[in-house]
Amino acid sequence: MTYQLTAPLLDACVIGVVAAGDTYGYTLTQKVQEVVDISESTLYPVLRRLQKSGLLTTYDQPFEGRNRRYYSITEDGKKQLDFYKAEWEVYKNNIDKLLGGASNE
Amino acid sequence: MNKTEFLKALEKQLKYLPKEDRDDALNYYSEYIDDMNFAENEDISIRLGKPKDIAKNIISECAEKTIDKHDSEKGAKSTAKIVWLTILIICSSPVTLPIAIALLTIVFTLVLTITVVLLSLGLSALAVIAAGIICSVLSFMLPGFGTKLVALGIGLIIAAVGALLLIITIFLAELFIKLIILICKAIIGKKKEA
Repeated sequence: MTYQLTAPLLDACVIGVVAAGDTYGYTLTQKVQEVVDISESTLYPVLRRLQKSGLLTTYDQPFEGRNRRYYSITEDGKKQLDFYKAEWEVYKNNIDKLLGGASNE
Repeated sequence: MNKTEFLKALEKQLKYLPKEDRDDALNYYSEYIDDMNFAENEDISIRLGKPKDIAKNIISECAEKTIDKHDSEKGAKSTAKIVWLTILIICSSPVTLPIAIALLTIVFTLVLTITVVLLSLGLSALAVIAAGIICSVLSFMLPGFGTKLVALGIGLIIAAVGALLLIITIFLAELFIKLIILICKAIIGKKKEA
């Protein structure tokens, strides 16, 4: 991948995926990996941090005789996601302007 | 490396973390490995990563969390925890072992030296205060009102100088602790970027 993913953008992506439906560590990593080049172990600290800051919560559900921990979004998480989306929109448009050469209008 | 071996190795790397943090990480990776559907004899660490590298991530996150907490609740206990986590991070970083040992030795020696200097300063201050008080008390036994007064004055001045010395020592000690925390934060912050 040519462009680097920064920490806040990765946070935003993770919250975005969880907002689309409760999910667990493995599928979450898979979904992000489809788009961004991250290692299998990248998301654990991120999930911990988002959980600590109250943007995500977890609950456990039995699966094939073992436990599976699901992550779901909180009200604070939804607000934060809206903020990230708005910020991204601004950033994306500005970059598009520069790339399109429209900055010298 | 099978699942049991992998989790054991990871647990070993995380043995100095609080139990709650360690168990949470081990549960996560235990589930994760089950979800990855490995073949019977497949080496888990090839696809998932080496336990040591995974542990590094976990320890860094733990250290950042502790620093955030330290900003809100001060205290000797949380300061010690930050210093401890920094040592863990230095040990788990990719620099070669001899360099890590050299670094730790230098830091340890510096901390020890400054601590000893501050401690002796504090003790000297206490001794000067004691000398001043004794001098003031003894002044009453001296003959003549004038002599008593002069001895008392000298005693009080000595005690005051001692007290001043003690205050300066405490100030320096606080400065020193702040410096240690700052250095630890710099090291942890640097790891975060890497």
